[in-house]
Amino acid sequence: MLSLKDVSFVYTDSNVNALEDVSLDFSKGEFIGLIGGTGHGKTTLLLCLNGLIPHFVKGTFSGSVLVDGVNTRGSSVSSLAPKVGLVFQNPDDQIFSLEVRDEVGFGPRNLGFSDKEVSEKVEEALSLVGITHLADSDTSNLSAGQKQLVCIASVLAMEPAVLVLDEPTAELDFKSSEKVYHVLNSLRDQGTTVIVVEHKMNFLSEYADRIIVLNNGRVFMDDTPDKVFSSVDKLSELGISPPSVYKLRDGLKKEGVVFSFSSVDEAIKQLSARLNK
Amino acid sequence: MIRYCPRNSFVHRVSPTLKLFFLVVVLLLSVLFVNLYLQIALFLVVLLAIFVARLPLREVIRFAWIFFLLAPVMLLLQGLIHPVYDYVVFEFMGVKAYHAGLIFGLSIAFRLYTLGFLTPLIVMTTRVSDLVHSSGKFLPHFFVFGLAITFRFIPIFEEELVRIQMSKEARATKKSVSSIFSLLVPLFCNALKKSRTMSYSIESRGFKA
Ligand SMILES: Nc1ncnc2c1ncn2[C@@H]1O[C@H](COP(=O)(O)OP(=O)(O)O)[C@@H](O)[C@H]1O
Ligand SMILES: [Mg+2]
Repeated sequence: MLSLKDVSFVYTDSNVNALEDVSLDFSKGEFIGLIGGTGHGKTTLLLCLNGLIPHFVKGTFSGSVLVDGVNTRGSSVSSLAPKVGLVFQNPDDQIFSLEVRDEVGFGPRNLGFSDKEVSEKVEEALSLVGITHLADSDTSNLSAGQKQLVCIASVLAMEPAVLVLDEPTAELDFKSSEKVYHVLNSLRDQGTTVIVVEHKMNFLSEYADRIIVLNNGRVFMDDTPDKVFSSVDKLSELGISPPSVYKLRDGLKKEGVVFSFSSVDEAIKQLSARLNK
Repeated sequence: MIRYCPRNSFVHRVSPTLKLFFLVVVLLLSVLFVNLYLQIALFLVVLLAIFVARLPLREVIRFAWIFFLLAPVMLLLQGLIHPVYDYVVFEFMGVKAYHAGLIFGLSIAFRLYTLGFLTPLIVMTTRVSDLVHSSGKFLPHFFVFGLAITFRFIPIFEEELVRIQMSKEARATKKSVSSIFSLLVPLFCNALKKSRTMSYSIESRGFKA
């Protein structure tokens, strides 16, 4: 439903390829984690998904991005908005309304829905992310986690088939981060495609179906979390630290002890079973 | 802080488009004409609107104080150097204040007061989302972005300035004229970055001119 073919991009005032020959296909209901070191093209890739590249960001773009078979080159960002929703990294760069309700209603209002429909969509989006009680709050008084949820709701209100998030937990504590992932997980269960840039690998190993590793603007790996995170040495070379359980599993394997666990709970079970033998 | 201040008032309910129109008309009248009565009238209209909107005066004045400060200075300067010497109204320490000069100076002072109050009047009674939504229908794209971002950035600027200042002070930077400039540079860089992301975000949520 969303596919990139040979996508390359060079920012104006830059001579390196922020993206180089990236070809990817995303299908409905997939939960995708996008990882890679800082400056390796993750944000740039996201900007390509809803047409901000090539329509707004200055630079040289080649290749093609198809959303539901429609080329982004030939469609405006606003017409892509209801299909691909993009949540940026810092909530303070996105929220511009005083009240949560207005912020969340901004998208659907732009899409031309009536006042009644807009308020229905606002209610729905707020309840999806679990912040109905904040509807009338002043956006500037919210905590970082609540602001992030408002940003997600303000995109969800347009009911996009694909939800894209750039480091949504960068400024959140563990508890708020977990809340965000619960929300994303339930959206995926309802058929939304979720694409998320994340540095906290534990969340990806728990929730993602697929991990894409970007390095110097190229797709370095594209596989299941288990396959990707098992490549401990390869990832370390790129400066990526896989979840500790994978490091443990990898270390044990090098000592000749093979396990198949991929979470702390499984590790406890398998290790204690073996040790009690 | 100059930001939207929710009240149930007539001024708040006026459509943002009309408010923009009002802003432009008042600006034009006040800049194009020096007539004292016109300037006083404009000032009173803006003041009246501020009262009708029941805006917190303290906040308004905190924004407008620089204009208050400037006004007497302008009054004196303009009044004393005005080239028409019709008749002396008073004399103080050998300096003669002429009628024409005083009138001119007063009208300049009122013009400044008007401008100083107009900004908080519009910003504090208009929701940015309403403004973007209603003016987006007939104003060019870049202009609406500019407006939304300006509105949004007045409080962000204030916060950012304090933040940068604190981080500089924490590193024991001495206060000087050049240190003020070195404050402004990161301030504008940060604001520029923020405004770019914000325009992307607005665009991504289906906004179109
Ligand atoms: N606005 C810009 N102008 C010029 N170069 C940029 C701009 N944004 C990003 N880049 C460059 O493009 C490359 C990829 O950046 P980005 O996609 O932001 O990486 P990531 O999100 O993975 O940290 C980096 O080398 C970065 O310096
Ligand atoms: Mg990034």
